[in-house]
Amino acid sequence: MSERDRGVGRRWCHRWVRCYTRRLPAEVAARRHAEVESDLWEHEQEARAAGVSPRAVTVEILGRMLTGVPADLAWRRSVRRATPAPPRVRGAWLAAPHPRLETCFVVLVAVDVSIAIAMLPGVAIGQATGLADGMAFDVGMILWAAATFACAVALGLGLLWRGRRPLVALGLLTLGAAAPAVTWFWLPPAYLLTIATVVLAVVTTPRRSPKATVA
Amino acid sequence: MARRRPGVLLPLEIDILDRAASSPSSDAAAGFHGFLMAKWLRADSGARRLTGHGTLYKALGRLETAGLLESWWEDAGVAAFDGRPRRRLYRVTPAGRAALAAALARAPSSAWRTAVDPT
Repeated sequence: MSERDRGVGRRWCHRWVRCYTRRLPAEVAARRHAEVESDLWEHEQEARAAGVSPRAVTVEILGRMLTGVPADLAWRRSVRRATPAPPRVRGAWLAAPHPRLETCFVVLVAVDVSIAIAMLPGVAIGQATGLADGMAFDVGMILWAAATFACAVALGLGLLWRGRRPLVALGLLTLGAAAPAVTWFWLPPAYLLTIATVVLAVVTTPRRSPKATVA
Repeated sequence: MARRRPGVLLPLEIDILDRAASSPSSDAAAGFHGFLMAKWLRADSGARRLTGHGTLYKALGRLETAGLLESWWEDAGVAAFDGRPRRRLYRVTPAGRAALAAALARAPSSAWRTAVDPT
């Protein structure tokens, strides 16, 4: 058995300690980690000095780990019972970042703005080539571009107001995401993006305005 | 696993207190660490295996919470000098000695007492 194999027992022990100390108070978990680490080190050193084969040491260590599993789980339960749960602050999670929603927002705004910018030269091209139908076409294109910009602004305001006025923010996000998509019949991925944005906005919006009250 | 009743020491806890209390006074002042206790328990009971990590450290924790043991981290410099992780050291408190005496008096024919008691 190689030196690498010698550490198999220790590695499995560390994995198990990490597993059953998950979500426990940091100092409690750190103490258990340190104690087990010290124990394993002493065990290995003593076995090495006594000429015990690495395989036998690994078996011993894994045996100690396995026989201690019920006690580990009981200990974890008792620590969790003794540790008061952190106070739940309604609306506090709004302050937490929602990276997926923000990513959707950024992509949608980028699409909105690029489409709006792309439409403006279209007015000039339409006039120059005579393909467009005069003033009505120009006004239509300009209004469409303005509406697309407005949707981008609505998305931005919606994201900004999520903490203060969640329902208004939800409305703005829905409008800003959904309205341009109605005209994006030629851009199917935009539908998915729109749906994802609206669903994320709904899911991450609380039913009431956030108040920092302890539940 | 034995279910705990308030105020009653489990056999393993009595073994730990007994072994720690019966160590020479210089050792008792220096304290013992988890693996050392596991070795003591194995030697005393004649078992082939060391006590499981979870079983041992849960018992030590319970005794400490009950005020029967006190614990502290050894000096980081000592551990660094020896090139090993720091040990958590334990020592029996006066309350632990009293609780041990009471527990041994309540269970005169216990297996752990005959195994540990050198007389």
